Amino acid sequence: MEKKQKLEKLATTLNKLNQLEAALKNSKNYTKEILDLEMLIEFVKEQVGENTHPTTG
Amino acid sequence: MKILILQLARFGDILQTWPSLKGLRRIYPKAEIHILTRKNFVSAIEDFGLVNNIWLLDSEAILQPLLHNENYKESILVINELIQRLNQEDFNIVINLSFSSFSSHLISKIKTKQVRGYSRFADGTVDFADTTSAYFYAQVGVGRSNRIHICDLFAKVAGVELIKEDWDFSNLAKVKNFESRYIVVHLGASNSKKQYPVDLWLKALNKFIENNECDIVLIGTENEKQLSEKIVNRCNNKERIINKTGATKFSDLIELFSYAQGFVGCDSAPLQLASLVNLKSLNLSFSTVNFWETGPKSANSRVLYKNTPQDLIPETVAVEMNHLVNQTYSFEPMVYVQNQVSPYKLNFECEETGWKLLKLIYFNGAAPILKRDCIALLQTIQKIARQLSKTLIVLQSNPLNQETLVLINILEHKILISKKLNLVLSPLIDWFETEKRIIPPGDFKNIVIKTQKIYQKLYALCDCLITSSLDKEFENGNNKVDAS
Repeated sequence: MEKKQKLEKLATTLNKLNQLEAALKNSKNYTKEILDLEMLIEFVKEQVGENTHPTTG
Repeated sequence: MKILILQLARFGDILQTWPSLKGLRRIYPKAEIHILTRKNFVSAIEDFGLVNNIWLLDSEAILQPLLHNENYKESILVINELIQRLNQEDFNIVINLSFSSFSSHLISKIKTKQVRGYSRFADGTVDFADTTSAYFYAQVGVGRSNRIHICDLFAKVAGVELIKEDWDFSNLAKVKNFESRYIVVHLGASNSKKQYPVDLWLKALNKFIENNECDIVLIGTENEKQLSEKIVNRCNNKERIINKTGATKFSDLIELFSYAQGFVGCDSAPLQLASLVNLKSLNLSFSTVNFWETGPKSANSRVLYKNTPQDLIPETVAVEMNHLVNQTYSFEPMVYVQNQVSPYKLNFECEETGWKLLKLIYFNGAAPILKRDCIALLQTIQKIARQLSKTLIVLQSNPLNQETLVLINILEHKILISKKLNLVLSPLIDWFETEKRIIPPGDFKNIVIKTQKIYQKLYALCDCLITSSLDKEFENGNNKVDAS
């Protein structure tokens, strides 16, 4: 998969993960499942450039 | 004793972790030191014997299930399997030098007796396990007022006070490969916004070759090959340029740097590597990067700083390259580096107030003198801090009172948005926001006590700043009267 295509696919997946997280948070209290999902979301955000290191950009 | 370092950022950050690793080795000579890095960036740490064990975070393996069938549970499983293996090691100390949200989640799942750096509380809220991490979160990065170098901040989080010995990697130098005198040039940068344009590089290098006997060795990554080829093809004196772009590993660069006359480049991993082998460097830096955070640390290095790359004329670069090689000094405004452990001596007046404000907040420094508009805004913030303090007492007697909670939110919001009214006060507002954020979850009474302390410190800081500035104003006024 080309880099651009991969990033687009990840951005779409990230949206779905965010929606899933919101749905889980509405349905139950903080659980391991939500924390795991939050961790993955943060990882994907880094991959698509949403979360960047403050010094390296 | 087993120590795990998390360094999940890129090449430059891994290289800037080296002195901390050496410092930890000095403090804990018998410790087993492990590091966790991303697989794609491991070449900046492997083969140098700095740690006992390297763990890899395989980004591709995590992403594959997501990319193929959006199977997020499978991706989480890949991460959790790594955590499970790490947990079998039973680390005594885990140090997170990644400063990222993901790393804070990851580290919170690793069982250990002591955590340093970003982590998470059991409810998932962010936990800055030490004051340096809170400082980093609030004050470090482009547009912020921090003046402390990243290498020193990494060391502080790791609990290390760096000494000269921690910067000595001379044992890694190998045999001499080149007979000629040469200077190493890296044309690229960690991102395009930090880069000097290729046409300007060409003019600078042509001019340097005209006036200096040193050859030029070009280095860079595989992706930068085209950039270097453009220079080689269009250079007036091709035989004076040795192009090694895309052909060097970090270990090759150490060898190359060990015998070079100097290094020239923008903000990038090779610049940071030059600091580790104490190769004097000329750093071309622009407003897109804080060179005082990631710039050269090697003795006799210098930073040529301009607002934009276009402001830096190639003739100046060529002249400064000459000065670097000959160890002479120019009249060009420049920041000189004394040695690896000394901080930069900066002379940017416009940045001074923010840094002074930081020193007041975090290190008990003297208060900066502020202008009238700033003082007026501080007086407003101080009033809000007092009101917040009183409102919190009301809340204490009736914790479920929604109206009081809403009022606290509104007042705090007023403080946060005041940053937009006057950027000079950003360090103060960022400090307030971060301190509020790091209050751990727990019983209501403890949260109230910690919150009250923040409001009181904010009030006291405002008071100190207002009083100092007004006193100075009064003093100046008296002097004017005396003079007339």
